[in-house]
This record gives sequence, C-alpha cells and structure tokens, in this order.
Amino acid sequence: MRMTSVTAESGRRKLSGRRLIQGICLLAFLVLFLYICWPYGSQQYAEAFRDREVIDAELFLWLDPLVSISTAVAARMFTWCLVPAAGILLFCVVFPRAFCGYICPLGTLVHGFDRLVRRRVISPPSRHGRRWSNLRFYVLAGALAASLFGVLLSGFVAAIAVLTRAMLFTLAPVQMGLGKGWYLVPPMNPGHVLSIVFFVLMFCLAFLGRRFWCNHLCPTGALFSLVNILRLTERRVTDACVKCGKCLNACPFDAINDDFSTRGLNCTSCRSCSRVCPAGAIRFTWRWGRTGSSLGSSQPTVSRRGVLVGLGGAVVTGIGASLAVGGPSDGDPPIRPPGSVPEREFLQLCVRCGQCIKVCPNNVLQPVGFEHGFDSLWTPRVVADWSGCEPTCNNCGQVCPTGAVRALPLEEKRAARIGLAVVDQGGCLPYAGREACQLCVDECRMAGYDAVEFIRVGSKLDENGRPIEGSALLAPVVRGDRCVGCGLCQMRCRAINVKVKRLLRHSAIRVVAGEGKEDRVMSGSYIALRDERARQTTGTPSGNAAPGEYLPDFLK
Amino acid sequence: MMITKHPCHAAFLLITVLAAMSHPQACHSQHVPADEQVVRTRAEVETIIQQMGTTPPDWWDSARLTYPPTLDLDWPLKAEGEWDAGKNVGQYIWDVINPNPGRWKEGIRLVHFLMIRHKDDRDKLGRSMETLGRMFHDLMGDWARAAFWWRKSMPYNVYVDPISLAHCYWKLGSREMAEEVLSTLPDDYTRHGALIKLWADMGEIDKALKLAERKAAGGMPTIAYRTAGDTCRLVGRYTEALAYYEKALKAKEDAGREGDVQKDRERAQASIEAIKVFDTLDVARVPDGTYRASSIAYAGPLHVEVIVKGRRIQVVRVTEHEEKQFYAALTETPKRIVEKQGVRGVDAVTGATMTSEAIINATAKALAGGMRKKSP
Repeated sequence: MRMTSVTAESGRRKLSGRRLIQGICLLAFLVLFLYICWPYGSQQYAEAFRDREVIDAELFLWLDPLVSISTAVAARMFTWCLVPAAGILLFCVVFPRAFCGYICPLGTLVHGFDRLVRRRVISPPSRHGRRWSNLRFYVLAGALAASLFGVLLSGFVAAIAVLTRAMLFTLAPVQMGLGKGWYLVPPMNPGHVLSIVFFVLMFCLAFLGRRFWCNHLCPTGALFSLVNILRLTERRVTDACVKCGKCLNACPFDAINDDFSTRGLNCTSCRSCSRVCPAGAIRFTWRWGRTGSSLGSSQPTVSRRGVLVGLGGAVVTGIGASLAVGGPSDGDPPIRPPGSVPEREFLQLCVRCGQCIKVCPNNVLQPVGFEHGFDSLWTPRVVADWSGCEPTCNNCGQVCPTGAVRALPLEEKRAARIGLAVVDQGGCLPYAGREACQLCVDECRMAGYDAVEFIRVGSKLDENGRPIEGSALLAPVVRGDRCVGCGLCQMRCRAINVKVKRLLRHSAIRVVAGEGKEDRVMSGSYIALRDERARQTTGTPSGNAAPGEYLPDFLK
Repeated sequence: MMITKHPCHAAFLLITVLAAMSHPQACHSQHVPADEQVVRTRAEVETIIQQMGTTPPDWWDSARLTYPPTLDLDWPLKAEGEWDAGKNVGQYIWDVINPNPGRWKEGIRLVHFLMIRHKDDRDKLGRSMETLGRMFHDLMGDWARAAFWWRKSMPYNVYVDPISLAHCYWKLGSREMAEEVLSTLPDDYTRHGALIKLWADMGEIDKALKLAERKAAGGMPTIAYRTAGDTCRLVGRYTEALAYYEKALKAKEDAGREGDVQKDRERAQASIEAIKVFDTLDVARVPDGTYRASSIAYAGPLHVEVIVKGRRIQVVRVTEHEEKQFYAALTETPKRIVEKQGVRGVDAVTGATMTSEAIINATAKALAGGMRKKSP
C-alpha cells in the first residue's frame, strides 16, 4: 500500500491538513476547557453539566499516556484511563508520534509561539546542537522512576497536565473576571506563580530552537518516541531526491539527518518535509514495504553511558522525591473534593491538572500552594471561607481523568463526607450571648442536609425553675450523623458576620477534615457508609410502639 | 440621594423590617376572609376531633422514636437539680425539640411514648396528654389532635390554656365553640396579648381594640398598644396602626417584664418602618428622581438604583453586589418590580430567594426615601 504524499505546490496554496487538524484539536481543547468546564448558567449544576458534556471534558488528559501510566504505576493499580492511553499509543504505532505532530494542543501553541517570535527575533532556524535531544528521555525516566517509588511527579511535566493547569491559572481567571466579575477571582498563591513561571519558560524555549520543549524536554513526547521503535509506518526518501536540503530546514522536529535519512524516534509524521520537497522524493509508507526506498531510518543513537546516566539519575530522582515528600504537613489536613480516594492514593493519582478546580462552581476548590508540603502542591482543596460545596453539583469527580476524585452520582456525592463542621463556641454570636444568629442553620436547611440545628442556650429560670421565654438565644449544634462538611455554613458566617457586619474575625463555624471526619474510600457506596454510621450512633432504645398502640386502652 | 450610608445600618434595618414584615403577614394567612374560612357546625367539629384524635397522624410510622440515652424517662413532675437538657424531659423538649422543626415529630413520639409508659400515674398521665396537645397545637398546627388531647387531659387536674383551645375551635371552623370558651375571659391577662390577637384574627376588631385599651389601663400598655397596632395593620388601617405603635413606644410600663417590654418596643419600631416602607408605599407620591438604597443579600450588601419618572418606576437596577450565584434574580426581580409598579406581591425568583428579597427590600427603602423627601 502506498501512502499519499502532498506536493509542495498544493501545500502552499491551501491550508494543509495538518494545520487543520492541529487547529481543530486546539479549538476542541479550549472548548472543553472554557465552555464545557464553565459550570454556570443553571443552579442544577450536575444536570446542566451532564447535558453540556457531549464530549468527555477530560478527553485530552486521557490522550496523554504519561498521565495514566505514571498515576497507575504510582498507585500500583489499574485505572480505566489506561484504556484510552493504550488506544492512542496503538494509534501512534500506525502513525508514528502523530500525537505530537497533530493532536497535542500544547505542541500547537508552542509551534504558534515559535512562528510568532521567529519572524521577529530569530532569523533562519538554527540547527541547534543535538546534545540536549536525549534529555526528554531522562525526564521521562525520572517521572516514571518517581512513580515507581510511589511519588507522582508527572504533573510537573506531562504535556496536557501542564497545559490544563496553565490554562487554569491564566485563562480561567480572565474568563471569570470578564464573564462574572473580578471580585469572584480567588487570590493567587505561590503555587500559581510557580506554575505560570514554568509555563512562560516553556514558551521562552522558543528562543533556543524550534519546538524546543517538544524536541528536548517533553516526557509525553518521549513516550511516543519510544513507541516509535515499534512503528509500522515511516518516512522514506526515494532516489528522486535532489539533495536540495529544503526538508532539513522544514522539519520542526529535528528528525532528518544530514544525509536526509529519517531519525526514526523523532519523526512525528507531520509531513512538513514532503510538503517542501521539490522532487516529490519523500514518502510516508509501511516500514517493511518495498516502496522505492534508498534511504530509510537511522537507528537511534543512545550511548551506553547515556542509558546508565539516565537510569541512575532516574532512580536518584525517585528516591530523592520519595524522601522529600511524605512528611506530615503543618496544621489541619486539606479538605479534599467529595469522592476523593484515601490521601495516600489521592496524592499518587492526582495529576495536578486542575480540571476539577476549573469545573467547580464558585471556586470552592482551589489549588494548594506550599502550605501542605511539596507533595500537595497544586492539588485541589475546599476553601470554605471562599464558598461552600453546592449540593446540586458533582462536577469535580466527573472530570477527574485518573479517578483521584471518584465520579459519583449526585445522591452518592451528597452523602460523601469531606469534613465536619465545628462550631467555635467562643466566637459564635449566640453562644457568646452577643446576639441572635441563625445563618448556618438556615444555610444547612436550604442545602437540604439539615445538619446544623438549634439548641437553646443561656435560659434564665423564673422563681418556679421554669425557663423565661425569650431569655435564651438559639445557638447552632452540628449533627455529626448528617454533616458532610460542604462548608456552606462557614462561607455564610464569614460573608455576613465577618465581612459585612464585622462582628467576628473568623467564621465561627469551620469545616475540618481528618480521620473519622471524612469518607475516603477507593470504592463502594457513601450512602451505605452513612447508613452504617447511623446504625452505630443511634444507640437509643427503639421501643417503637406498634401503630395499633397509638390510642391507649383507657381512652377507647 | 444615598439613604443608607453604612452597610451595617442597612443590615440592621433589613433584619428588623423583615421581622416586622413576616409577623403581620403570618397573621394575614391566619386571618382568612370570611368566605375562605372553613365554617363547620359544632357537631361536625366534634366528629373531626373524635375521628382524628383517636387515629395517629399520617406521618406517625415514618417518624422514629429516638432520644438521648441519658434522658431520665421517669420524667418527674418537678425537675431536680441543675438545668440539664440531656436528662430532664421538659428541658430536653424546650432546648432541643422545640427549636428544631426536624425534631418535632420525634418529640411528639417521645411524649406519646412517655404517656403510655406512665399511664398508671394520674398526674404524669395528665401532664403527658396536656404536653401532647400543646405540641400538636404549637408545632404541627394539628388543631383537631391538639383539641382532642387537651380535652382528654382536663379531668386529670392539669391547666389547659383556654385561648389556645379556643384557637383550635376557630381554626376547625366553629366560631360558636371558640366564643363559648373566650366568653369566660373578660380581660387579656397574657404576656403576649394572645386573647387580643385571637379576637382580631376572628375579625372582631372593635372587641380586640377595646380589650387592648383595657389591658393598657391595667398596667401593660406596651404589649397592649403593640397588639392594637398589629390589629389595625391586619385590616389595612395604617394611620391608626401607626398611632398605636407610637403609643407603645411612649408608654410608661410598670407591670410587664423588662425583657418583654424591650422586645415589644423593638417590634413596634420595626412595624412602623415596615408600614412606611412597604404597606403605604405609593409610587404616585414619589417625585421624579433617582433613588438608591442597599440591603443585605446572600453573600453581602446589594445596592439598587431606582429611577422614578412621571409617577412610574422606570428602571430598577442592581448597581453593586457580591453574589456568587443566583444571578437570575439580578435581572428578573427588577423586571417584576417594574411590571408591578411596586414591591408588593412581587414573587421572589425560585432558588434565588435571598437575592430577590434583598432587591425588593432595597427598592422599597429607596422609594420610601423618595416619599419622605416629598412630605417630611
């Protein structure tokens, strides 16, 4: 079978197929991120999201195989996101590194930025040294070795995770500011800054060479390059080659040797070379086919020393990473999204893409900075001072690509405890005898949990020992059997008593997470857990009178 | 013109105005016009009391009998020792059951359980049945069962509040039975003017006002005049209502409890505000101009701007707010206010009640400020 080639003439005249596909993929990524993951418009958040999500919002994260492989290795478990990862890897056996050349929205952005700056800054594309070209394999090895030691580092480097998080920290606040109001944009923390600096640096690499990130550093690309070893198709140069050298300059992936043969691990089947070839001498064809092929692919040149240094470095990275993390962090543990798996597994599965944070209405979820240690950087946590978790929303679990946050039906999500509200009796206005207040009780009732109820405090008694009506205040009590830790109470107390009325310095009711206060399970039903708890805690005698005994005999 | 300069002030005003709003409106719902009020014969009411009283309410089996394990089920007639809501049944009902609608049914089941448990102790049995009556009346608005248990408890030498029993008869549709009970009460001797309120609910305005004057003369003028004000407001006699409320504020008190008097004065003041801001609001009396006011919404203060031109509300606009959701209310409620040309009868947007109410409140305050400007 002969694969079609595009001639130079036709390529110049019209938009190339590759550009079109790249454009569509970038557009799709942005639509998924900005439109499908924009949770506003209806207060029935779960329902509205389900209707809107015609394509899975986490599609591109699934297509980044490093996301799924590194998390599965770190957590030592099978995750369903391995299936699309296997799919794209198989696809790239047929179309070598097509992910990098066609699909990857980060690659497209890097490419676009290259063109932007190269026109103005860099004159002809310099053929940068190949000294760095194996670096990405070391990055990949380091990320996977860290995963082997149970530490997830791929979030720092995996292409789509990096891009999604960068969009979260740059585009999402602008979208919120323009779409709903700048006062709704949460403040930044050092974690934001670090991520944005990484992202900017990634583009600044354009000054070193074309698609420098993709060719030299990207571990996702490196993974596809390794798959290229098994490639079924490849670039071939026929005898028609006139050795003009145009293809050398056209190749954005540094995939052509000086003798015009192909560097098999680098080629992304982008066909930039065949597009400029005046002789039509470049074919993309079956690897073992006999199609007129004088020049095939060169073997990858990886020295033994390179391999040893790489593996050694990776192991050191892994051990170092596992030693650097895992220490107990200061203060209360972060409150995780509803349906989060146990903390250890959570940190191994959460790829720090920030998709859950994007899709969370009112920014209840915000990225952790450095306050919980390095290993929690960029993971989502509930900031109940900012807002409370909506009872009609289960979005975060729906978009998590790796299952760090389980996709729960709304009923299950409403039973999943993320923490427990605790009343500060020193601050709370009725407890302190300052004034009547029922913000938290009303809020909880409106949310449908009915987990904060009243108790009368400070009753004065009359001479007969009976309470004087109106002498007491009603103060809030949290029912541990009902509270899921959504934090709506905390948000409301803060919004009114702290910010508007300035009566308190902190919300007098706060959600705390931790052992026994949250449901962190890998599988199973949260409703069942709640029922089980109810059975254990209601130790009251159930001398339930049968219906027939309603009217006592002496009244009949 | 900025009416409320400080959000704290706005918050206070809103809360008092809302409190005052809700009270007479609650009365409104009780004061059903004669054609909507159920009317039944004495025999019919007796049948209903007997039938419903002897059968459990429909929610009975779905409510669990549950109580703290520390509770003293002996429920002595007089609680011993310190106040302890975890131990003493009466105090448990008062502190934990009554304030929480979610616990009312389990509370009634608990008292019923204790009634059966102490069926051989006359005093405790009577007290249980009286308590059941009070809970069915105060908590559930179940007039037939309240009347049933109260009447069953009477032979056991317990005190049953006749005004509450009369209230049950009135709600069940028998004015005759209610008046029969009330006729034994020549004066309102209650702390909160319950007798005056019931006569007013039954439409006997003159009788209610006469009782109020007598109560005022008898040494409890604050509550008496406040209740008289409520009575007049109920039937739209706002000028008289304002006069009574003013009297309540100025009254010299010697018999009422200090805390009660203070609360009654606050409520009278709030009712005056509510009448001025809501009840007597008339756009036709607001001069052309732009008026602004604010109110506390869900997440913080909300400011509106109202433009009146040619005796019409031209524009209602939310100029500033901190809401995080409920955006529907921000455009929908102003639209409804302009359509209705006023704030009365404007429904809150479903799911955005607090935002809607804040817009309605702020608009009313802005317009009231405009009226005041014309006639100081």
